[in-house]
Amino acid sequence: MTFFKKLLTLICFVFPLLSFAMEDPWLILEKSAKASQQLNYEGVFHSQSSSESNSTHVIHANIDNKEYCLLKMLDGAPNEVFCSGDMVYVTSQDGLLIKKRKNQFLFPSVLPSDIKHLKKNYQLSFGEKKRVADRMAQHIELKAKDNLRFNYHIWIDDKNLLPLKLIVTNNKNQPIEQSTFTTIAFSKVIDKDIFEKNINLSKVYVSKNKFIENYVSNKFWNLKDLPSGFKEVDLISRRVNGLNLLDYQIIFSDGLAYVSLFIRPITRGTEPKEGTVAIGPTNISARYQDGYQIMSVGVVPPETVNTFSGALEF
Amino acid sequence: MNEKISSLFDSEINNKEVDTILSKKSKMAGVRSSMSDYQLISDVLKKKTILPKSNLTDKIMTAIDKEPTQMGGLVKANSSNTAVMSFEILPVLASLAVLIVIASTAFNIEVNNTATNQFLAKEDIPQEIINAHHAATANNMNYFIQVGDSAK
Amino acid sequence: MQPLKVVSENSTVYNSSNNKLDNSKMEIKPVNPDRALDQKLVEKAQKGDKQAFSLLVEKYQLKLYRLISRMVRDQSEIEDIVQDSFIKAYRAIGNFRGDSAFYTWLYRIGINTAKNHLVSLGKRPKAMDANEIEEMENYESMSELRVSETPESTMMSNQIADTVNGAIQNLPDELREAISLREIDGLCYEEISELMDCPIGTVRSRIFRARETIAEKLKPLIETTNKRW
Repeated sequence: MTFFKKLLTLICFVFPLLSFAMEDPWLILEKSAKASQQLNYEGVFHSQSSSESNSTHVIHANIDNKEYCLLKMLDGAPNEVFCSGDMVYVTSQDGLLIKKRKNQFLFPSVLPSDIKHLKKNYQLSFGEKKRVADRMAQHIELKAKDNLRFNYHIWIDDKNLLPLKLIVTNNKNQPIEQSTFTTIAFSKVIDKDIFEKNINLSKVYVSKNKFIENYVSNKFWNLKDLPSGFKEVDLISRRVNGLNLLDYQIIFSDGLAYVSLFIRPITRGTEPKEGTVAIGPTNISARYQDGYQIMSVGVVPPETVNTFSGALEF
Repeated sequence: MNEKISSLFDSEINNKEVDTILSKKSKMAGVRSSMSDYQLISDVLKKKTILPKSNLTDKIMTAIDKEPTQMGGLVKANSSNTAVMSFEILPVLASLAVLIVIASTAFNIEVNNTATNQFLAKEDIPQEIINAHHAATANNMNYFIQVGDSAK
Repeated sequence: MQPLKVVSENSTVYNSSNNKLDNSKMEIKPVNPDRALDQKLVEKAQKGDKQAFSLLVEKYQLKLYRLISRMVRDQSEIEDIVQDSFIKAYRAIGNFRGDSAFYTWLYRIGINTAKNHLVSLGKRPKAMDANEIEEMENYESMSELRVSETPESTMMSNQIADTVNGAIQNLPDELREAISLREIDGLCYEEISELMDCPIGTVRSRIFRARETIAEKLKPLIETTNKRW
């Protein structure tokens, strides 16, 4: 072999190794997010927080580039959620509920597609591998860079990068929320009929309660000094029951954590509330200003929800 | 930012700038250090006895960080999963709340100034607020399916 | 579409007899900027912002130290009393309504804490006859700190003073004038801007730049000492 051929062979052999070594470690999160959208799998996962725990059976498929999933509660009242693309259909004893999926990342699809935002707020590190649901999984820690958010520990499947386990910890390293697969199986093909047996997708569904989403002509508020790393991702307005009043929900995210900031007019007979309280892993901060009850809600530290509720001015 | 600290030292600063300074939590040690420098310069110019910089503020704040957070006269425990009410204040506030209700009913007064400091309990949070938040953001299906309105 | 508010924009103020108050007859008192800033920080602290309280600590810890040093000689005891006073103030911050200036309220806490400390040690406040107690109560007349001076502390004081005064002399004229009017003459920014015939923003900037220049010269000195003598 001539010298140049040898050199070329060496480059072809070494370069991929170098590329792998130089690859941005954050890309693994992007790949994991894609895996949760593209893989076909069926399994059972268990979710737990300080206030409740439950098990869910899940079937997920990507058919002709469209996501389908079927989630069935195994504990408590029988409920089923069927997702088709960005529409979500919830079947319960009360009837059928239809929602458009915007910001919900249902486990195991917990990672956002855009990780640039995550990089600003979290520090990435890799932990040890361990078995989860009889599969080897790599521990990834997303440690908060400040005290405005919690830490996220994710175990992703070593072979296909699907998140198999998620634990959210506070700044004292105490778990506050977790979800983990107990069994999971991957398959190449899942029949679409499995998803459509409960819901007739050709039928037109009309909501009983009309509410306006994202119709906000004039924002009569300003937001100042928001907690660092959070950006507004959605704005929803709803009519207060029976009254010609609107209340508003502004949603913020740092890529993993979400906070809702509610602006609700105080109606006659209602006493305004102020203070901070925790319900399970969720912290809520309430403030009153100029006839409005302001409440911020999120699985974030109490100081963060306090800052959000204080950030609003009229 | 540093110019704001100089103005803060002179109390020649508006509320918005104070909020800006306070929002930068990670920089507060630097803010206090600058103010300490300015105090030293001021003492020299005013011919006061000079004391060099000490870490007394840091010691004081370390002690205060261990104290329960004060919230409008109500004390919140430092644990992130509990809200604590001082038992001494409860009966007083309860009586006050009753008086306010009676007064507003008798005189038909609308409360339009800053809110009374209500003790915030879990029961005070409307369920629809929690549901609306989880419906829009939850990563747990269990939260998601608890949202209120239904369709046919 | 503007949302309908339950309470109208131009709310009318009612007193408890449901009589409308005439806003035009309300007095508008001039606001002391120092007191206004303290009130803002107190309100923030009352809502849970400990960092706001830390600014009050930084602002008044030396003043309180000087006050307590007139009753107590030992430096570590003075520091303990100052620390206890601020902790007591923080615990009681919810009760502070702004009827008096924050430092007036803090001063009272400091004096009581110092007295209790001395009593607990079986000591009576040194050289405290009726006249001295009265003098201490009129705290505004107090400005000087009593410390036990050592040759080392005297030397350090002199070095710091020399450095600051030297730095002041080397400042550009407009910076020197601005900081002197502020620190020595005690003028507010508005008064300085009138005297120097420049905008308030320029005054603010000049004072800041003067301070930064002097602080830079002081850095080597103050970094080598990290405790009071």
